Amino acid sequence: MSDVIELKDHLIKTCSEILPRYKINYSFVKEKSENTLNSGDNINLLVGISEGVNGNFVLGMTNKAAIYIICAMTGQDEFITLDNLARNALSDFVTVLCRRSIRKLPTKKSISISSPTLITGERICLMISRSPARKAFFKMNDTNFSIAYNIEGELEQ
Amino acid sequence: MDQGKFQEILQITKTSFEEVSMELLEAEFTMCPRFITDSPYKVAIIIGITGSETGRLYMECDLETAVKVALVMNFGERLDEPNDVYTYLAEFGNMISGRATTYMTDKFREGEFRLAPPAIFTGKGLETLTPNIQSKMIYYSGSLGKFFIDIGFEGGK
Repeated sequence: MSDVIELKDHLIKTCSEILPRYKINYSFVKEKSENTLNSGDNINLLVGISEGVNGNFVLGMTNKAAIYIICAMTGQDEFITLDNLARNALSDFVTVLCRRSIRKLPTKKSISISSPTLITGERICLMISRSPARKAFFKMNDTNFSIAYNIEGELEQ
Repeated sequence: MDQGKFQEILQITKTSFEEVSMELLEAEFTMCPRFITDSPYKVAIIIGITGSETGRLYMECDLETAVKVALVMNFGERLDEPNDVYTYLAEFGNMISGRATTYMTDKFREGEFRLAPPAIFTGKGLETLTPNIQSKMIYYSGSLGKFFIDIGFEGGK
């Protein structure tokens, strides 16, 4: 029987390790349980997780939050479009965020993550699991970002 | 990934999609020339791939096709909740990925490819992109509508 895995503390810890390095001001706001179908942000990055545990991890953000992350990652002052450099920066960011958070789970089994997929659009809704997902909300400067996840599997006690 | 292995995975994806469509929906989909979805509202099923190669499997249709698929899966009865469309699409994606996993396990060594659970995204003007992957696309047309499938791997050709 698989359990739904709680990742909140690991996400907070990972953000505290990564974001200050890029001089991104942020604060954790709250985590809540979502419906199975949820409204998403304008910019979303999905990472699939499998092997030791299974699930999905979605970093959702406003356009403004994406620009903060891209500028911080690339060292450039501004970005107008999601060009290759910008997309790669976001992709690298979510990979690091997801991998570091997942590695904190107490398991000896190996856990793999898929290539991140960037999803943009208006009035986006997402469903990442059959059971309700969890969503952690973070404030970033004058905007925000969120991490929705649903991960199932067995961990060591 | 070498070209031969990529072709085999592509063939497995095609077989899985065609078989599940026929068994579950009693709908025959045949490959067709490339098309661009007219509808502004699209539904995407994204399944992360991990293992010896990382990538993702992407399936897309317009909302009208998604509703038709869901209605057939609901035995032709009216859907209780609008969100049921996405639940059924996720199940459809789950069955295709499950079938593909079985075939991949038969063909390659166990665990060489693992699939994450399907994630569903919908919205207006939905755009998706997986940076740094090489992908192959398949276009299907059938009585229920059209599907676009894209399978890609990092460093694939």
